[in-house]
Amino acid sequence: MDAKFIVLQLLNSISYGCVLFMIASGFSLIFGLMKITNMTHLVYFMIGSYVSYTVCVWSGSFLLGMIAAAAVTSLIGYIVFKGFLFRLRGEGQSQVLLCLGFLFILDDALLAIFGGYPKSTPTPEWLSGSIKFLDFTFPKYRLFLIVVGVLIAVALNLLINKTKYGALIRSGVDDAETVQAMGININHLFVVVYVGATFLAAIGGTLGGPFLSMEPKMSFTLLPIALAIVIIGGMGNLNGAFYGSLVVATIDNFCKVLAPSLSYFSIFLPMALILVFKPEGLFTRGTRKVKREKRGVLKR
Amino acid sequence: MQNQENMSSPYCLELIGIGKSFHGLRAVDDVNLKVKSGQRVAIIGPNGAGKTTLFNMISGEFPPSDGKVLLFGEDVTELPNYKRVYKGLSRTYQITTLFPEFSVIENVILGLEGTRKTKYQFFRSLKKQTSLFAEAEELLKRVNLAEKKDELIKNLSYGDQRLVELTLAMASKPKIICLDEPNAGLSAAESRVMIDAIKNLGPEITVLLIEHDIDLVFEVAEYIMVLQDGKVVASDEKEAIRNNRRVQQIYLGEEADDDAPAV
Amino acid sequence: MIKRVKAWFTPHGVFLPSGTARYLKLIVIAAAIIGIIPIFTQSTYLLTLLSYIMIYSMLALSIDLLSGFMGLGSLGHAGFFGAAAYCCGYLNSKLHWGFLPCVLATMAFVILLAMLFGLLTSRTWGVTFMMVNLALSQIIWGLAVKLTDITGGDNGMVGITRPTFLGIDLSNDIIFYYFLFAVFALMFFLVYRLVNSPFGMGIQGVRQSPKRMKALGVDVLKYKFITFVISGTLAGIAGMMFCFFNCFVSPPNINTQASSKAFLMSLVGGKGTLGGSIIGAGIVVILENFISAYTARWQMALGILYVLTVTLSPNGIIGIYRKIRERIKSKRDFQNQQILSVNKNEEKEKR
Repeated sequence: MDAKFIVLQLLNSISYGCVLFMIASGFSLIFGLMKITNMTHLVYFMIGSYVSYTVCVWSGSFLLGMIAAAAVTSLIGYIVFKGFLFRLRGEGQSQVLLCLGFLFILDDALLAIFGGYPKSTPTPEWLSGSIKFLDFTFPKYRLFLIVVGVLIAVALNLLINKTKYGALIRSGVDDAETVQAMGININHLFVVVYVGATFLAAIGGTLGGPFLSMEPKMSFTLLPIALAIVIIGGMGNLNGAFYGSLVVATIDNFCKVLAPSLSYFSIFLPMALILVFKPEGLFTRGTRKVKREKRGVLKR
Repeated sequence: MQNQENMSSPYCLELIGIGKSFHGLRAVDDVNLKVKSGQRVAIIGPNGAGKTTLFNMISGEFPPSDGKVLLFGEDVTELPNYKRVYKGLSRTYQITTLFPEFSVIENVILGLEGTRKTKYQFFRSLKKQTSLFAEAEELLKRVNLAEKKDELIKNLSYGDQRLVELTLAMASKPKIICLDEPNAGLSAAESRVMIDAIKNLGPEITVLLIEHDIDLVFEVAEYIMVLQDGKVVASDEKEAIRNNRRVQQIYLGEEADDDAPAV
Repeated sequence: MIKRVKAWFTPHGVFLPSGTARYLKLIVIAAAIIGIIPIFTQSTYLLTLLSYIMIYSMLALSIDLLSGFMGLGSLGHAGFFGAAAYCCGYLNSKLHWGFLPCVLATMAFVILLAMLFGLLTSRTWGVTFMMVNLALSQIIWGLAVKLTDITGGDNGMVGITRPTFLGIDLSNDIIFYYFLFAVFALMFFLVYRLVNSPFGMGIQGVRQSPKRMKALGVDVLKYKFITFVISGTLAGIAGMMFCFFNCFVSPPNINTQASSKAFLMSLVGGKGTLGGSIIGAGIVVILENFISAYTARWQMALGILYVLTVTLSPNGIIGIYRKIRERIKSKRDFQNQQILSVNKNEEKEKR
């Protein structure tokens, strides 16, 4: 009984973690590359899930909903970035405030359009129901989430670590100036990463739609969770975002079941401990700062 | 107390086999240096030779990976930079680090307050502390900036900014002052003013400087250390260095492609 | 005596933080008007509005001390504000403590809280500092929502009554208004002294060049910690005033939007200026009242205000005013020069 409970909850946590990863990966990469804490990111997630909900209810096709969500959200992300954020590059604090402003605007727009009642995207037929294995029953959709989440994580990892573009992003995270000095159009890289991250958030929003009941203001509940993930995992670090998401999702999930009154705080305790003892994040290899120092020295 | 330490050790600054590694790269390796009180020491070498890294270890921006730093015979290897100021060590930076929105005299006053207990006064107006103003003006007079004291730093010429940087380093009444390329980017006339200002530092003050301008080095320094790739190539009195063939080869040979990226 | 008072309020020389000196007269006049208003009007609406403006200017000032003067933006100050309001409200409504013990205990609580958060944020700067602060303030918000026994949860904390202090019954709105005004004036005066003191100069130095401050022998982390604690405490005082004025505290008073609103107040007026906090709080509070009366889209308006402030005028209204003045001045100088040169030419021709 106990083992069964733990396995089920672990699977639940992982599927939740996979959705969180789709927010946190983009959030973290944008921070690493552009030094912006893109708070608008949470609202992109919500836009993604609302658009997919609408299209899905209208057309009955989950896939169509996902495509529409990705397209609409990426477009909004592109406009916000090109029209506003991009003009303030180099001014970290102003950019953060701008993101905050857009978080308010877009979040309130969602409330105005969709109203305040919680909504859930209908689960597509081929994914509804559950799978029985031995004496476990587990919802198909959650398994699907885990598969998709892991696939995306692997694909992102390959993209960042194996391709030339990924190498550029990685060196941009370490030192944007040097990349620019090498004659690479870093602005182009910024746009691609920003819109890419938005795209990912929208996919995450679509996938999260059927099992998170969405309501406006959820951006604000998700914001501290996203912050906790990047603080725990380390800023601008994809692996950190992945493990951070899993850690936060597991803690959150188990607390919700075992000690509901603690559920909101459970993620903040590890966060505070990490801030005190390892402020660069749990999954950072501890080389980035040194590298930067080294470059600083060589530049002189 | 510091006087006693002064007497216990004949050297005011000793570097014993210090080195620094950054992520496997050896930026500075096994540097030994003993500086006598009042001595003028120059550290020269091509770009990327590890001069600034060495300075950062002397002033305490970061600790060395290995080796020891002694100030007046006392081990300060692990002491952070703001505490070393109280031991009588002060420095300038290659990139000007002034307070651009404050006037010249406000900058100097912040410098004077730095090592004093009064900096923790919360509700007493600085303006009323006339003795501080007098002191600051005295310091500015030494570099002929007294008449510009109310100008904002950001409106000052680069040469004047460098002089204020020097004055700020002098404000804590240091016994040892480290100057990181004081002359870089200055015009010939400004450079002359700077050289005179450095030469006018009292004989009791020990001066360490990094400099590319060979004329300045040979005019000011008594003792010269040459670094290349983090290692000491030569370390000797001025005349001996001037005649050192290896130094001529290495240092002057490298000078030609000075701008090449150092990796 | 009058001369001494005057000296505190008139610009005196180089040591005033940029912008404050020139607007000091304006601040004094505004303060005088605010002080006189209750004599002429009995409108509760106006008094309430002015009281909120004063409370929020105190909060904005506490943020400005950290962000404008020391250069560390904070999106978490509603946390301190709210923690103090809840603590004070709890002591008042549930334990029925008197005014003084209530205030002293709340102050101690807020100072301890600020010290704790100060330690947690000690190794972060810039944008990271902002984020960590935001996350920490969310903990306070979460506590307010979840600890229903103490805080009343989403329904908020009720039953707070205004106490009697030194024989003065603060439950009268006009008397409380003057009490609030006294606290407000005292706080601004103290911060004014603070930013002109050696320490205040020091924190502005940290904003402009932390590296140099270190090289001058200053423990920058200690400066940051002290400033953070002072700033948190000031926000706590504002929170206490809010608690006594409003007699009701609920989670929306201390969430992310509240923090962001307060930060916007410190920006809109002009960061790094004391008067800016008052102007900013005035604008935002009045706008909120006005907009909320017509539409439910206040949050969107807040967002738009953020975007406008950041893109059009990062230095706020005082910044715009200064820019215009400089432009007029340079134009006038230019015209004067032209007139001069014309005159000279005429003189030459005459010769």
